[in-house]
Amino acid sequence: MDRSMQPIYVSEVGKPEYKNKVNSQMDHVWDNFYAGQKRQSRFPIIINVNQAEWDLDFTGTPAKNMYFELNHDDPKKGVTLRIAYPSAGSYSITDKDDKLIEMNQWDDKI
Amino acid sequence: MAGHCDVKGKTNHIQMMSSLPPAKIMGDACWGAINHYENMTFVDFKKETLYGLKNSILGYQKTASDFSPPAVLKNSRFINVAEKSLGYLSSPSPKWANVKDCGNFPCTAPYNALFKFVNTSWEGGSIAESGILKKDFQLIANNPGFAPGQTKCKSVKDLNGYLC
Repeated sequence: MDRSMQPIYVSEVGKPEYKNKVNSQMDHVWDNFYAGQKRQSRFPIIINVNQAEWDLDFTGTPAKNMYFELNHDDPKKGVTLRIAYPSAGSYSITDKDDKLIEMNQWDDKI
Repeated sequence: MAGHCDVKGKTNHIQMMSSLPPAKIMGDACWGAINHYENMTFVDFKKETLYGLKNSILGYQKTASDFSPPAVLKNSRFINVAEKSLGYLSSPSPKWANVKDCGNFPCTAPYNALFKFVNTSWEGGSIAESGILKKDFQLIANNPGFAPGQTKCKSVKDLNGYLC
């Protein structure tokens, strides 16, 4: 897409010294002699599910709508993803069936 | 080669003469795929080919900038396989770092590759003798922002990756 939010830095909470820096996909479009300047904002990222919490730091403004998928043999496995949004606002999270997930109480420790 | 799931490039099994490389992802790779390989047997892989080139059983497409699907290998048998020929996980090409392709730095799919081995057996060859590999293990890319931070993973230079 023309607007970009990469690089995204993915790091395990408590281990800020290791940041997995990920890029958008390659620009595959050619308009005659010119590059299309269109790149998919899709980010395959390796994480360790034995670590419970991971931070996602977007360099650009995070997209309004994002889709996350965890590929793992064990469907019960999961992790917490933390995103520091640059502006105050209300965000809702839905599952794969578009069912709204109840929000939790504000946690001052995070 | 793992990671071949493209929709625009050459087919998995080309049926006519083709320029090299015989497999290449040209357009957007497919998304969300996992490659499953079951009951595969690898026999007599030496560390070098007849012409002295590096011999690798496993690897991803060097041109796959956007997505390297995780590969799961179940019930694999490695017979007379040299330790150095198990595979080589290519790092992102520095040439991708330009305005026409990936921007300021190369696309990062190769850094997020994963091979998962389940119920693997080793017979003969330097891998079996060294005993470094178990029945169940994982091979991840040499991602400087991720792999060194994994306490249960060990760097293996010949694979350009980490064994976990």
